[in-house]
Amino acid sequence: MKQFLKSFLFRMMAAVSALLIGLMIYAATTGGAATIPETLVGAVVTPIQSLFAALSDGIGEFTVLFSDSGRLTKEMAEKDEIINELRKQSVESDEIRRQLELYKAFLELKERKPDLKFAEGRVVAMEPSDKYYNFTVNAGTRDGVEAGNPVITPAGLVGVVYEAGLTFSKVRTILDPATQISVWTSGTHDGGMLSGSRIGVTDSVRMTRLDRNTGAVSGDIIITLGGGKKYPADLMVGQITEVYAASDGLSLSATVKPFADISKLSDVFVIIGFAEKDELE
Amino acid sequence: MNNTNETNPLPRLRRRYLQWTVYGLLVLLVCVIQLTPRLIPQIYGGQPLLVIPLTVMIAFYTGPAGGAGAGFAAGFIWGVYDTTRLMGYSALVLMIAGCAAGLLVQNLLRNNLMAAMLTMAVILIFWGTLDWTLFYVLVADPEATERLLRSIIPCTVYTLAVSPLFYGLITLIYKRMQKNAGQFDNMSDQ
Repeated sequence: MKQFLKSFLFRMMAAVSALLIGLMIYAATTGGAATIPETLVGAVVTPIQSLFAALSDGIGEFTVLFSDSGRLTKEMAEKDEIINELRKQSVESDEIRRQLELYKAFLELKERKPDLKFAEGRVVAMEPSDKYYNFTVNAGTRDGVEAGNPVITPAGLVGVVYEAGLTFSKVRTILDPATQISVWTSGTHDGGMLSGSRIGVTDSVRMTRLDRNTGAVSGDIIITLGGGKKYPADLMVGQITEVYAASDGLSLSATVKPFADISKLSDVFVIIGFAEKDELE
Repeated sequence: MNNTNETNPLPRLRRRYLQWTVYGLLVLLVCVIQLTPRLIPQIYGGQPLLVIPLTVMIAFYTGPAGGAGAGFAAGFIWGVYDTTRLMGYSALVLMIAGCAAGLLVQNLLRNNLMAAMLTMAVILIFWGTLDWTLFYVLVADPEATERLLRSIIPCTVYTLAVSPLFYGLITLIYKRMQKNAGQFDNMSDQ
């Protein structure tokens, strides 16, 4: 042991450890920008990660036939004929068709909200132990992405970019309590704050600060309020499944089930610009 | 034969470069596989942390310096895409784990599967405890106990279960390199 403590390796490791601790402190204070080492490593590894994510999606579609036949049977009934056709195709044509479907859905969204500017991204990495399903996409600052950009799928809002590198961005999902979004109910136009819950994270989020006299009920659709630089208005988020009295006794809270299946995301779009933001800037 | 190798260090250097190129590519590949969504099936909510057994097994065959280097590289790549830990954390812990494993096999343990599994178990318990304490207990996560039971323990057991594959793989690479080295030395002599 004494020998090791005197060795060159020990001194080298102490120096590297000090550097890594410095990097951790620096990473915690960059305010959404990736560190230089992260950017460099990300530039090399992200293309490989993207390739594996594409392969994984292809393999996943094939293996689900064997591994989860009960759920598949249920899902098959819900899916339309186009998805059924896709499963029968080869991995390559599946990929092309999937992209076309995605673009079609986003074209519809784009037609509804022509002011939105998108950057396309694929979910390339997901930390296995992350209970909020936060993920990394292969779109970064070179695609115009910056920290704070909302991330959506055709089904609705899924999260927000919290760190942007050159070729990748880290996304915090709406299931994470650190994500706070101003929303309202589409029917009664009652405002509230949407955030993830630290307890019982499965696939739902909480809407808090609902007025006690709200007419919001189970089944109401939740959309973003907009009006600021962060989120455009009228992005679909989810549907209320339960309304209950908040612990403070002064307001109501609601459980909201997001429209998008956040644990199984593969392709997303990052909103890099929208009318309200452009006007405010 | 020995005389030739002592006077000409080039073949040995070349072997070392080749060895570390193979290990480097393996580290990159395993990091990518570990982080790719939905590629490895989950069991009881746990997914294996493949880079930990890889680091430990490399350390078993290359010693503390090699283990520390492999751990640093694997942890660094992992850190770029990690959404739960700060950049640099995994590199630091894996570097220490790799060095510790290398020191153990250099001074205390024999290099066999049993010793590798024992070291893996200790390192995984250390990793899991540190993760749970730092990211759940210290931040007063109300689901800390549930996360321990439904994520950290399954993940630890799953990682330990796949560890022999890495021991086999690194042993195979090491033996193949040794065999090639023997042939190369013979050719150099001739």
